[in-house]
Amino acid sequence: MSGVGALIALALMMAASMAIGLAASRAAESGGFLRGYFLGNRGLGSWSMALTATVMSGGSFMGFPSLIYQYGWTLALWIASYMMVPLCTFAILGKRIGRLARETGAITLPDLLRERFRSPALGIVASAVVVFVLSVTLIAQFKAGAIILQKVLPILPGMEGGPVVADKSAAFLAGLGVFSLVVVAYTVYGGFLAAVWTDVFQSVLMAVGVLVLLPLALAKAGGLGAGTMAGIQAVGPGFAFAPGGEHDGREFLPLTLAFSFFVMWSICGMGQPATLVRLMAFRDTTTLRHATVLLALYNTLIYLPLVFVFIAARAIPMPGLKAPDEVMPTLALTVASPLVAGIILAAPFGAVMSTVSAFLVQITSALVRDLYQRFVDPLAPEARLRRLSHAGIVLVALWAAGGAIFSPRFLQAIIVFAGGANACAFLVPAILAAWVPGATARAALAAMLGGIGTVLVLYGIGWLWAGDPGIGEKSTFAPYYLLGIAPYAWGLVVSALLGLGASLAGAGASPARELAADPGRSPVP
Amino acid sequence: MSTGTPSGTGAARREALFTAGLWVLACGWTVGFSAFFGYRPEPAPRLILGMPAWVFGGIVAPWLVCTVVTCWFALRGIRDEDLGRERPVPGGSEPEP
Repeated sequence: MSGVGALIALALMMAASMAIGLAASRAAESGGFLRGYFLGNRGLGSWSMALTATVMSGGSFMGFPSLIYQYGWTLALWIASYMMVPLCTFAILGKRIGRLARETGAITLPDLLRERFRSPALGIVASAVVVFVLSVTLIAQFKAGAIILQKVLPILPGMEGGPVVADKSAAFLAGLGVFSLVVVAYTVYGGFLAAVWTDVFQSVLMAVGVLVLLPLALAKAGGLGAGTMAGIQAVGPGFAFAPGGEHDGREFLPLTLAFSFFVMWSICGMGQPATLVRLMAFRDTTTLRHATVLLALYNTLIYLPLVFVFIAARAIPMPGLKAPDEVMPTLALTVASPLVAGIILAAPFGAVMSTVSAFLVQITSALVRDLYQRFVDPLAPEARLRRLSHAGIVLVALWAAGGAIFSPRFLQAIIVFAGGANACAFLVPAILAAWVPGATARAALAAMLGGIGTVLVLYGIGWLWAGDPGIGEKSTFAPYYLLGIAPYAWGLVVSALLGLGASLAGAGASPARELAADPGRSPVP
Repeated sequence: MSTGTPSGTGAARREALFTAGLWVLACGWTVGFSAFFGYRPEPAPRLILGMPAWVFGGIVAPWLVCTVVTCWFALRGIRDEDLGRERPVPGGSEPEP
């Protein structure tokens, strides 16, 4: 019964996503193809801005509850900086990036950096980083989508049995196939707007799921205090304190990592290409202000209640719970009806789909707009750009689906790595572009390469030589925590020092001032 | 305040600095409070509304304050501005001039 409920909910989610893709296709038709397909004609409203830029991904929505259930109240500290995410995201860079994007006519993030600093080389490096980091992350997202579908798709004759290809079962391959077809279809149709609108849809669904689950779980547990005490009895006093329950001997959140995560969610979130592109796409500053309010309320209503729900879960008997990773579906099925449980389970699936579609659009925009149109055929007609964009999405999806079949085990850790790497590559260059008139292309390039290079080096040391550091989440892809601080915090420090240092050392006119004074000037070819 | 009148970089800079200052306060309070009161496990912690007192004082209370301040600042503190004229995009249906 539960499987049927989840299957119906997922089928409805996929049908809704296809409809959204069609609607987005129509909405993007006004104006030029590139700006409509890759940027939604700079027409994003408050809801689209608030509920797509920084909201938790599908993987996190599934993984976060399991961490709360295992380690307890320390997860409230782990997620605490979401209290600052709305202002950090919209008030520091929003207006300046929005203005700069309009002044330069930029459609993609590499576009913006290239035009602001008048450096084709910077544009190429930025495109390469976007394509490389997002492509790696895309494999993990395809695998996550296939795993969710694999659990609910009906087992057909011939699908039982052992591995078919590279230790993957026929059920996994069927899930991967269905997931790939659906997500490619609606992304090809709707482009950027389809990704954004499906994101809004799943974010609302996640909030509904959490707010329905909260009273049900608290009532079943006998209150939040009962959950806290049950957790202490099961795990020990560490369940109610930092650094977290010590059942496996790990320090989940030492103080250095607590600070690192405060930086991670609020600061690194600003530097994600998906966030920066949305800052280029909002309608006007009133939209930005209203989005800030909406996101502040959304974060308060979803993250703290999530912690409360899965602390309370400790006091709820769940005989079917075999592993902490299954706590969300198991709790949903324990306290709610199969239909409500299906809706709750559909939310993270929708989140994975919208993440994939957003990444597909960004990678394809980097390939078609930043590389093909810039360097191969600057005067390419709209029809060819449209065909290339659609073909690009299909090819990138095929590549990611193939990667998901032959993927290694530590993909969730790669998602964290990719988020940090993106932030360390793009945040400081974006701040230089927006706020430092004297910043040069050399400074932006130094900040970009220094930031991502630091992350790569610290992950490389951790992976090849350092072994399990004994802190944070257990992973075979753990980085080296220099002084106990996460690599992305060091990456941001190195990026900022190199960027500001090179800016102070550099000389020459400010491209930003030239652009502002001469808005009619043609972009660099 | 959102006056609807265009303004230059000054307003955006003031808003960014306000945000940076609030971030420092929020980070300092949350991490500092938790460092003092959250890293000393006790078998019978003091609970407020069912949650450990350090979580209430160090995370939930500042989170609610931040939400109120964010809403107030977004509605009353951030100014509306004209973001400038859109430059034509080469390619597609908008040929390069």
